[in-house]
Amino acid sequence: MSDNSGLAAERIHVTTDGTLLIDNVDCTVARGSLSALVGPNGAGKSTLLRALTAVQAPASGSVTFGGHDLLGMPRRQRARLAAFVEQDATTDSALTVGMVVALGRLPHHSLWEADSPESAAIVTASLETVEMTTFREREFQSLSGGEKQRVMLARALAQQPQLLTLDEPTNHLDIAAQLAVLELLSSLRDTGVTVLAALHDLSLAASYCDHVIVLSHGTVVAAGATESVLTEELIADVYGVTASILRNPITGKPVIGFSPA
Amino acid sequence: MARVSPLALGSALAIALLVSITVAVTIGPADIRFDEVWRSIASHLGIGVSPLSELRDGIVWQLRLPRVLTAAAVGAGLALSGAVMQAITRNPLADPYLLGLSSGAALGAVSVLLLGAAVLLPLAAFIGALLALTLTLLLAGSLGAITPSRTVLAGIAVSALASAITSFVIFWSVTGDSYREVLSWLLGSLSGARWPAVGITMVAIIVIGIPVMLTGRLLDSFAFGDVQAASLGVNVSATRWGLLAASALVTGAMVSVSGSIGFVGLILPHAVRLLVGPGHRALLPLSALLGAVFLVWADTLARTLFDPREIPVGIVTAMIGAPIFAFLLTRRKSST
Amino acid sequence: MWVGVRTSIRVSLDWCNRPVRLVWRGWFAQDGAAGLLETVFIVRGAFERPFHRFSRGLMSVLSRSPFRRGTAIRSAALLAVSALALSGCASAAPEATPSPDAAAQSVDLSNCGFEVSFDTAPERVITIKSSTTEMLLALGLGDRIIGTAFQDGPVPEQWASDAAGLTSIAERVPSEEAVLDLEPDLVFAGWESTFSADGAGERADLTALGINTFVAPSACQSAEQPEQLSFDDVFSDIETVASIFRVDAAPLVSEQQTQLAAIDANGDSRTALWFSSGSDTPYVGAGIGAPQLLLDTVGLTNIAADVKSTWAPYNWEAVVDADPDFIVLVDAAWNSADKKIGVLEANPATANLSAVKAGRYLVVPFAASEAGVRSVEAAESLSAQIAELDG
Repeated sequence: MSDNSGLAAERIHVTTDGTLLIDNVDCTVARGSLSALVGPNGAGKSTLLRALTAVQAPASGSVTFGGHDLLGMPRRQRARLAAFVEQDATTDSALTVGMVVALGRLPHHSLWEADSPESAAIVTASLETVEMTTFREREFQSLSGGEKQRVMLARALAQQPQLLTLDEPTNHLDIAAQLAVLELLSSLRDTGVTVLAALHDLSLAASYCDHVIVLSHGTVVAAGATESVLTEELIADVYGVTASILRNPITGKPVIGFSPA
Repeated sequence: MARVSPLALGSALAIALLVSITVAVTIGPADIRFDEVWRSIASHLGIGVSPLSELRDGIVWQLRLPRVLTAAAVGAGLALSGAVMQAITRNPLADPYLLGLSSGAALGAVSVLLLGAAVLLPLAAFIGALLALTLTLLLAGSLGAITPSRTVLAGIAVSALASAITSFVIFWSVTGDSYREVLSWLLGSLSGARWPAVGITMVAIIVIGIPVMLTGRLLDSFAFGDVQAASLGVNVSATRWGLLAASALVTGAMVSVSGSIGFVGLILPHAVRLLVGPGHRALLPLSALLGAVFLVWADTLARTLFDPREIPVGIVTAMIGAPIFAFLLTRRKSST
Repeated sequence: MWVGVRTSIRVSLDWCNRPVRLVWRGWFAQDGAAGLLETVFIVRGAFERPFHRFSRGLMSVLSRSPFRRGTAIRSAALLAVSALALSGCASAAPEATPSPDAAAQSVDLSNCGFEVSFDTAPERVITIKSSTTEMLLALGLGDRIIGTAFQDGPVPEQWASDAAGLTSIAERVPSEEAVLDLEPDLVFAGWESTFSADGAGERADLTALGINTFVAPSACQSAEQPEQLSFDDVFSDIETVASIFRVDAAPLVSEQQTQLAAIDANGDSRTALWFSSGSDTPYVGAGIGAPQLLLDTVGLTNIAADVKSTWAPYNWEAVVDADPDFIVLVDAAWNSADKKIGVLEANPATANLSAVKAGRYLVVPFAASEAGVRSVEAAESLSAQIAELDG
């Protein structure tokens, strides 16, 4: 049974070693939207993202996507549906860019199948989408931060997911690279993929994301359309700083300025 | 250094293995001609009659052939285990003996050789290896969630303990020249390999080793850590524990037959990586093939270099392998 | 649970121009307590006997418990007395009367490359390994042996009564302390390796304490190893030892030479394997030592004769290739002749050896397999066994 609903999480509870990380969180992400998960450090954004994609299953709660139970689904099926890009991908391995992106095809092959031409084509297409085609034979570790991020994105795309979750994809990137990533996510959203990204930069979130979920101390403080949720009072409350919401003269999107509390 | 095509390397190694076995069986202190050797082997397989006397036929069929076949199997198993351990622990210095396997096996062997335990030596060694592995996992688990680095540390601790006890037993009870037997076992030796050893090692390779070789893709998924591997649909803990167990069983079987032959599991996977890159789908089977060829020749050298004296093959593997690896390393450095 | 460490502190010094060794043995416990177990004086010198051995006392020297402090004073006093006793010079003990038959000049030799000097015949000897014990017994010097170690088997009948009173101080290589405990003036070893820091002691250290060391010359490894052991070497060993003890070797040597001459070399150049130990890799008697000598004496050809070593690791393929006519089995307590037969029969390649199928085994007890006073008898026994097998 599949419907056009998006991601719906109910009563997510995550603890570790007795510490409560995510406390009874309910949240929804509309299908085909680009949503941001924001909150201060230690709010639990990474934990929540991993719980939502069952990478680190929550202690209790349910997660559905398009009506399908994400948590109860067989792993490979879930991996064909949802892709997750972690913060700061590092590896000691000497994998090439092409090999890294090809990892994304894993859920689509059985263990002993040879690589198919379709898979190779999908890898190529993913590389094209992130504009890294010429880097295919380069060693992954030799790339810059922005390039690595694009490759990891390509890997996620190679999974052909309908839900894409990213943990701080703009970390350690320069401004041009940050904007490039978010433009990419926007165009993905336009192709119908549901995107949820944890972002630390509120202005970026405000610029690109239709919806935002605000997390603080393991609970959802607010969720909904960006313009209505991200108010100066809320930001002051959650982040403990004074915020001023301005307008970007070129894009017309909100820009948030900060000053100490 | 340009990367070699895995398929090309694989074919070359497979051919090299067949050639190596064919030739190694004809080399030895006793002077037996090539054709005589193979006619003798053929006669045991039901084709024709052996041209050799019963005694000299025994040299070929009871001493040389099982030994060469065991060397091939042990080399393959150790190299494969080494590659798997390096992937699971994400540690390039990992070798098959990391979890206390060789120290435990040594303790088992020494208890038979010196304390006169009335158990078959390979069985005692195997039991020792598994006991050490159990202890390692218990110790790693007692520190909290079992992670690769905790397991490695626990393995080091258990290895040290087993080695200390082994050293004590040796020091306390060794008498006459029995220390030579113990030393030979500790350095790794194939001199005791007869047909039962062929059986044990071949079964290990075929039943466990070959399925392991097919899990290359899974091991690749671990390149970015557990979280990313899980997001790709891999059952992280089952894969890790399954491969660990498989590697331990294969290593245990090999060590029980040949003692702790060093270097093969540590360096050969790196050599293959330098030639064909890090993808495990190619790395696992190619490591096994290279391991087999390498050990066949190392053992041939061990038994003929100082004819008629034999030296333990562990000495040869260390002395040959280290310079070759250094060479490969310098060539790679100059190209990147 | 009491956790502690036993320790000993040794001091060597000169007291009135005589080398003196002081040993304090004590213990330290985890809770800070410490105790003195005993103080031992060993006064050595060419002309003196050792004296003074304080008996054991368990006392606390340091402790957190006030209860023990009283005894700390007692032990401090004990140490003070020890120190005082050292500070005065006692009169020298009278010189030992020289043996009536010995010349007064010292016997100086190089033994395995180590210089040794015997001013007088040793009177308190510790023997390590059967070969040296038996050599002294054969020379009638059994009364000089104060302790034996690492013996390889029972002493042959002809010397059994002399050997009856001998005490064994260690089953294997004795520790240096165990050696010093008996206050010997000579340690006579059958294997050079027993003179090591964690064994009986380094030769230089023992000599500095006035204890002489001697290795059976045929057993030298580090230097002066005989290039090809002969009975001349064996007899000259006996003569050397005899000269050290100022006794006459001639009767023994001539008796052995007569015995040797009477041996029937019935080997007739047939081949033999000298199987000493080992299962996967055989450890065999090789070309230059006692096994080669014995095989040559009875006229057997050693299949490992071209290996330039006393004993050496070999390989089964070469053995099977040679198919020796006889197999000599060394019978040792840790590796019996029967066990070796088992090894030969269990190995499918060696099970077909003609010597194994026909049971043509010659047995030599381990102690007789090393060069020494039993070598002639061992050769005799081999010849007799060959005769029996030949029917």
